[in-house]
Amino acid sequence: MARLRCLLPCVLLVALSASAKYIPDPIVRYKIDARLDPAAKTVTGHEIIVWRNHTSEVIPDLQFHLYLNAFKNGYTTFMRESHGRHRDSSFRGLPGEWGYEQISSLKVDGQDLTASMRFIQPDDSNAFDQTVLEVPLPKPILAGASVTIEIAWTSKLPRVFARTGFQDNFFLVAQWFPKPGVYEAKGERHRAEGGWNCHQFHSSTEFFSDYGTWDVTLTVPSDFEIAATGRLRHKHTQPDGATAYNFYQEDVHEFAWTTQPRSQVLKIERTFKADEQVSPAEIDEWSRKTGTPTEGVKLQDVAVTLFIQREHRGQTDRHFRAVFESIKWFGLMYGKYPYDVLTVVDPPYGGAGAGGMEYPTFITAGTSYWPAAHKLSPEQVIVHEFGHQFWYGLVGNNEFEEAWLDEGFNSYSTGKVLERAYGPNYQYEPVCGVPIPAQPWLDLPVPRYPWKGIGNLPIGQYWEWVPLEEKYGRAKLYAEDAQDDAMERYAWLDLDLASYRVQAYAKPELTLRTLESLLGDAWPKVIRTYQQRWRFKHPDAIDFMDTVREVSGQDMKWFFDQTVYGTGMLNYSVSFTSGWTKPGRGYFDAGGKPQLATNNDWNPDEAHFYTRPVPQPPGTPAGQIESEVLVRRLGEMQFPVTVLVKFENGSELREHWDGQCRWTKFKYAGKPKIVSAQVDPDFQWKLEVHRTDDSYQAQPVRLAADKWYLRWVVWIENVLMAFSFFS
Amino acid sequence: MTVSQAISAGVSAAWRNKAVVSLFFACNLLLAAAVAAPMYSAIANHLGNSMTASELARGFSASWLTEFQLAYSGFLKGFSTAIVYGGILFLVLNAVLSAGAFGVFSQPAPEDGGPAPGSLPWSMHAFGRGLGRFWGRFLRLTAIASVFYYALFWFWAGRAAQFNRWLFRDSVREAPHFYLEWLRWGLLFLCCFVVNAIVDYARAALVAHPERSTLAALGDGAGFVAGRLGRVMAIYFALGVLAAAAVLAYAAFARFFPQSSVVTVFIWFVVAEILLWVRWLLRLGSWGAAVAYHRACAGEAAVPGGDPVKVTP
Repeated sequence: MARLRCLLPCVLLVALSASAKYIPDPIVRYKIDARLDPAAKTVTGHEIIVWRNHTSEVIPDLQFHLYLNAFKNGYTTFMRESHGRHRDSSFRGLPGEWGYEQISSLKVDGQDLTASMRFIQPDDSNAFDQTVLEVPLPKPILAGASVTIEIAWTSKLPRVFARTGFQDNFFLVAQWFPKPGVYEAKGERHRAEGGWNCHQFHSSTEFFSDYGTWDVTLTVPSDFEIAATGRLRHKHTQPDGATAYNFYQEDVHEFAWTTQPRSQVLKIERTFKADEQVSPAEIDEWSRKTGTPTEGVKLQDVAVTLFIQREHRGQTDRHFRAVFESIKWFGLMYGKYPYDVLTVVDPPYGGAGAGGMEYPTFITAGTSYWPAAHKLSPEQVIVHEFGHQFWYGLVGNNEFEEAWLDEGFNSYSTGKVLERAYGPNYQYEPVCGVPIPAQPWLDLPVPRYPWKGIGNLPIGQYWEWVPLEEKYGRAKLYAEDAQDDAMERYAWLDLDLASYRVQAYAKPELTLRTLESLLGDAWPKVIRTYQQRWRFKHPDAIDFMDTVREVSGQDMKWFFDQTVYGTGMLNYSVSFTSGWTKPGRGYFDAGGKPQLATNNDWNPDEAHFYTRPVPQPPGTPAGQIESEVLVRRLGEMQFPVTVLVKFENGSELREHWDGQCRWTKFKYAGKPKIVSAQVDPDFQWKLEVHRTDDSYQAQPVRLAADKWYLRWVVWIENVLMAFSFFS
Repeated sequence: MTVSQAISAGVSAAWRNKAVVSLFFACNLLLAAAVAAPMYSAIANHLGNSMTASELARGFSASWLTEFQLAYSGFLKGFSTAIVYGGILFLVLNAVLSAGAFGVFSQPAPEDGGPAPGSLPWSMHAFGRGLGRFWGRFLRLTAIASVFYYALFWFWAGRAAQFNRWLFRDSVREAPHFYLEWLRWGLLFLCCFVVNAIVDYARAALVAHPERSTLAALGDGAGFVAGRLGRVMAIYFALGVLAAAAVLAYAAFARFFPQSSVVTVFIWFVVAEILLWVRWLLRLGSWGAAVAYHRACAGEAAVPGGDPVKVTP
């Protein structure tokens, strides 16, 4: 029997290895058998995990994530922090809607350790939270050794509101099985000491796990359609009316799946053919930009499966176009998508909580019944979730501790891809929250209401061609909440959800766009190198910064200290005065002797400079134009800035300031009058929070106030007319 | 009287009395200009000497709007409240002024050689008489109608919406909910139009029979609309389509016509105001149509079961 126990890992290793393409010897290998009971909303499973100690340390215990226990009751950490809300979905808390994971048996190398299991709360000591399980081992795991873990468990799925669960007979099953945490050795991700990185499930955090191989068999009713991470290898219909599907995938750190009656959903397959989607010119372009040989830029074919609700089938082409554009542009920028399969899931009405989420080779999107053609929904979410294949999937950052490394990078990348695929100006605001059909004639904007609404009532939302960068840059979110926390902070410790969103999404995106401006042509190479170097690994912020320094050759510590670790804002302002010098008064040397000069034009109350030349007394310096440009640093970030000064005769000067002090002045004598001055004329600093005061011109342009005032008048006339309908 | 005859009569009456239409238009414009006035100084102060002003003069700047909303959030909150109060004030003002308008549309032609119908003296005189005579009862009609509107919104926008959400709370199909929402919105709008029609025909009844009380006129209007719902709604929707055409015409013009210089902004504003004046013309035309249709139907009903005969007032 003991010999059998020793042989088991070897057998499993042979069975599961199948020579993984990118990670020949993964830390973890899964073999999972699970069965869905649609009526009870449960998944009963048995998994065998071969887990390897890849460090040089001796590990005395195992820790597991049991994420579904976050939905067990109202006292869990997730439910307390979220107050039963996640994004736009609410949890009703009806009896059948809670969820949990219950382990019935846990064995390690054949030894039953079920009784030794205990829940721990490493983040907040909340005794009701059961999302982290610790199993002390009778014998520690030696360096380089493997253990075989057998777990039998039952997952009760919650009603979907936070990524995973059910809605009627639709099931999105994610984070659904006991999963080992990540053991990090000393030095990994710059840790001071080795230990488990296994956090509780918080409302603002996502996930972190090791790359491995997955051999998963799922049994669902035969009249259900199914899609999952990886490729379907075989299926077997059973006499009890169920069908077992076997999926397999290597080199990923997550496994999710979905199933729904065939009467409600369609499964459509198309292939992204690299040769057809990408032109040789584009290959050459990105080869040059990134400094990568042409062969390294080429993409590969991908079999794409769309799992779409039948009532949304009219949007099939929109979904595929978004996916294909994503595979293409993300691949050209960062390196090809390395897997040969991808599944895109369209959750049903009522299952929106499952939408907008990413798992390796498996993403969920989400759309509505009749979305406007120009609104880029579902396109935006598809591009964003696919982007997570690169940032989180391939570059496996710790989403608990450094959410900005995937969300921020992906927000930046998504904006870039959307601009390329759909053009820079295809962004609208919704109209009054009322669903409208996507007819071409409705592309005609309503009168340009200049403001979002009255209180919270979305009357007259402006419907303008807003540059994607200005909207997708989430400037407003950044300006309001950026100072509450730093980007480099554990996600659940942020002040509130708004702060988390800024630190994870908006600020990193603006930071990366600013970094892109700073590094110029080196940037595509920098970010591609970071992606390629850290694929299938777990980098941290320092790894990214080291890559920037190495590839660009520039020490950007000053930049990262302020943006990643700091909470300051970037805010400059500029103004100037320009005019003729005052006439001279007092003694001036003439003929070797001081001569008193007087001038009746001198007025002590006049401004520093005169607006017109005045006669100068004899012996005094000739009158000339003198100008002074004042640049102020109003924020805490000290960035070097360029100031563009333009003169009356058409000439211009570019001044440079290091931004260290609170202000600086540039003085000019004998030059023509200044007509305008502008800080950061090339719009390098996307983090600048107030652009309006970054420029100054001699004469104010009143037409802007006149025009927008009249627009307001017309808008209010319409509002008053609407009110009068009720008279 | 047919629907098209009623519409023609109403719009013609409004067109003949352009001064009255202009009065409504002027009140609308002046009140809007007054309410919007603080926004001018807020925008001008925020822009100062910034070159962003040139960008805004030529087009639009989303980043500027973001900054402005952040810098003036308190002001915008108060401003939005002012718009709501302005709307309520205009609602009351419109109710009072409509008494004058209905007074104009209900006046018979003078037989004593006075000013010709439609001339400015005649219009203003008739307007003033109507205003003085009926403003109180018209205000009471508005107050009663507001209760009906409140009930409609409470039901269709509140309860019915909640019910629709509850009905499909566990559903995986959106289509039934989507179309039920359209039906709900449609019924809300239809009910609002019906209440509006009842009020307009109550006013028409009042000016035709000034001795009646407000409630009696309301009953008259309700009965009139109930008995001729199809034609009444046809008049409303026909004029509504014309008004919508004016809105779309403005939308198309505003979308494609550049507003980047003093001249083009001026032209844009003038065109916008002209189209708004047209919408006021149609609005008053609907009142004129109500008066004409009510008068014609009241004359036709003189002989029960027989051919309609004209009754000389």
